[in-house]
Amino acid sequence: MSFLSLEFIALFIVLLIILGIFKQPTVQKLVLLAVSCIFYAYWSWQFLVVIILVTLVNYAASLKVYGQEDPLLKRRWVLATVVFNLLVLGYFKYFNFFIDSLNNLFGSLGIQLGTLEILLPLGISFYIFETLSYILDINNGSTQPAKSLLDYALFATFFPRLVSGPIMRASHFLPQLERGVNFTRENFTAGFLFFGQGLLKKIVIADTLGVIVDRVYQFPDLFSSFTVWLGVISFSVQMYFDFSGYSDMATGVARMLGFEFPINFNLPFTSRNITEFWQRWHISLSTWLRDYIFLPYSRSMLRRNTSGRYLPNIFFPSIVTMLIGGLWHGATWGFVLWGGLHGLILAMERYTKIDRMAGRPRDLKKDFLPMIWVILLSSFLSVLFRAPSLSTAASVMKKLFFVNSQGVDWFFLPGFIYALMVVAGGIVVQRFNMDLTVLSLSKPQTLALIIVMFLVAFLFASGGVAPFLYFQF
Amino acid sequence: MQAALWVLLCLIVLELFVRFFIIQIPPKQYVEGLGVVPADHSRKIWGLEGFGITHYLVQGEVYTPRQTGGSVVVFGDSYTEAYQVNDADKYVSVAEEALWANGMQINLHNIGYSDRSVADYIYAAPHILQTYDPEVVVVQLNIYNFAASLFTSRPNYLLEQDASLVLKHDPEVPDLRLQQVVRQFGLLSFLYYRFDAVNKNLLRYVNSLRAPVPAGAASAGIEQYDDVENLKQQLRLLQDAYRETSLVILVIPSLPMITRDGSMVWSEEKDDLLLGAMAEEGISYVYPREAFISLYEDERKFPRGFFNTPSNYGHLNADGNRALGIALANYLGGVLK
Repeated sequence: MSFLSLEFIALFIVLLIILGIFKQPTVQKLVLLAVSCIFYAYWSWQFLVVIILVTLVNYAASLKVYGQEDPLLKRRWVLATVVFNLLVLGYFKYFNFFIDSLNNLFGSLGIQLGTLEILLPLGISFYIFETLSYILDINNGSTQPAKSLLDYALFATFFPRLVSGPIMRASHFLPQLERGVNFTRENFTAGFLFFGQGLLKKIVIADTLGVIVDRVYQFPDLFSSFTVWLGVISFSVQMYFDFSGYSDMATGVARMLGFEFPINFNLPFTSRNITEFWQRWHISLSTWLRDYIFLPYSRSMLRRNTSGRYLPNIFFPSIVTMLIGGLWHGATWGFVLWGGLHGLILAMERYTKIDRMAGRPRDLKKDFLPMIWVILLSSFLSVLFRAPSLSTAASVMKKLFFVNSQGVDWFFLPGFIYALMVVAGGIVVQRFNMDLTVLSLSKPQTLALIIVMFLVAFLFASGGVAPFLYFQF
Repeated sequence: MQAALWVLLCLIVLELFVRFFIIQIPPKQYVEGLGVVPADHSRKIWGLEGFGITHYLVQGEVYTPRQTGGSVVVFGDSYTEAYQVNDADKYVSVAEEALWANGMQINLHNIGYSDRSVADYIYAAPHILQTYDPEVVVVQLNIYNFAASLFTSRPNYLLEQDASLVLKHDPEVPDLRLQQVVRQFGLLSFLYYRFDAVNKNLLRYVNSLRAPVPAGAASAGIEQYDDVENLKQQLRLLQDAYRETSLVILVIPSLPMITRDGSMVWSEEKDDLLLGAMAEEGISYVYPREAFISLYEDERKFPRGFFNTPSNYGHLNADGNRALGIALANYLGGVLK
């Protein structure tokens, strides 16, 4: 069930009532676990079976790894667990992609392998990455295993972030879960505000932008280059508001129960280069990729050749990491290409030292053009992300390069306004050093803000509510 | 107390924004022989689809630039009311100006109002003929206006009796008091409008819980209408109602249609069904297909869609109204000479 459904509202109200009645931490955790299972099973009970299996295997393995003194055996346990998790992910998400790719490659030789009808469990990419980070962190000593199966199961299935993240680290989240629910008026108000903020982002902005995005990507050849550019930039903005909107709603729901989630987006469109962009966009994923793929790979490359200017040392880790990042998003060559290009640009920024701009103090005059460049570049690359096929991506890109630029001009004003809002708003926040993550409003303004948020969401929501974009991952 | 003040402040700001940029619904009145229409000398602001300010004269007539000359009535639904564009951009105004530019001093009376059906057009015929004494009555409609005539929940509807259709009229005058209160405030009007939309979705959802709705059946009543015999019967009733004047049917093309592979199609089954029926009944009609084709081919513009709605979807935009108005003016110019 989605946060924007009557079923969720009903379930959440029941949860709050039960948590209000039963104060013992263990009982509350059991209730949270039950609700998480109901939340997930609502889509499909088979999904629940998969996550239960993954949870049990990983919990048992974590105890083995933690208690293992023989380094070789420890390593084997870690490897076996990692392989198990990757096999689960690989089977559900990549099996048919792999088979289709082989068929395309060897089809001319008369080889045609059959694909399977595999249902993709919702959020599998998110929770597998979480379980992987859990076992790897236990292995390197940066976290201890959960104190009980109940705590770990809750960590693995906690419903606010189960289907679309953020990807949680055990070291940050397990202590909170072990402490239990922290129901206070302050937490509830702050959570409610976060939820309202996410609601606005999703149903007022993101879904409205979907109007032009869907049309442009459906019929790119019909529209003029100007319209296609507007559609492409609108998609970047839509993706931001959709995904950060969901993250805010997830953060809000968790906060209402007294749990804190890490920030997942930090004004990505104020980035001055792609390196900084990935420090601000989907932070839970980018830090995961950095900590578990990029850094270990970079270190192993450096051990072989200690020169910092050795080109493979600069290019390979970035490209491989982002190829994996692309593949994480989806089992298509479009995603792989998207990731690979991002990796290439990251490597080039590292090589030319442009990446160091991310650490420089902000200067609006100097930063304005780089910011616009990053928005245009990330939007351009997002064509591979959004286009339903490589041929559609090619059609869109031709228009972006003004090949066959003629077509219907459609100036979708909301798209233009929201894109401007993102840039201008980001500049204002940066300029005045505003902290948007902590809503420290006094009570009168808070009440007014809550009422206005929900009123605006109700009034300006677009026709239906489109599914969250990141549900497909 | 402070919280209440903050809330009030926010609501005032929102009210002003909604009132001037989103929605301002005019008060309504009941006109005997016509039905519920906007009050005399009222105004509608509509910013949910395009942006338009519509002024009303008396008895629901929409303002057009000319108030003198020969009388022609254009009677239609939301396409004719065209509240998505300003008065000067509505196709009736465009047609009127085009006629005057060609030396024909004709006053086109725009009697457009949302959600009309063929039954409404038939019912209002005596009122229209008496009030405006027109040389020509142009009735704008499409296939959906025929389907809507069969809904017995409407004030005017057509009922099948002894193998023929009979006009039925609900004599109850609607209570407009609640609407009069609501329309005082832009925010309330908007809430009322949104709540109505949400209510319909909620009902559909609740019904789907009771019994699964097969795909495409949600609006089966109108979308699936293809009863040619019923269509002809309604056309005959319409013709009979306006027998004292020249009747012309204006059919707004449901074109262009864009297929799944992005190609343009310039014919529509439902339009052809209606055109065929009118041809068989010997009814004069205007179907400006060429004008819409030309709009796309020469100017690369769609006749529908606005800066805040999907492209090629919904009501006619200013370009579509312009193309339609010129086509209507060309036809009337020939007929009235």
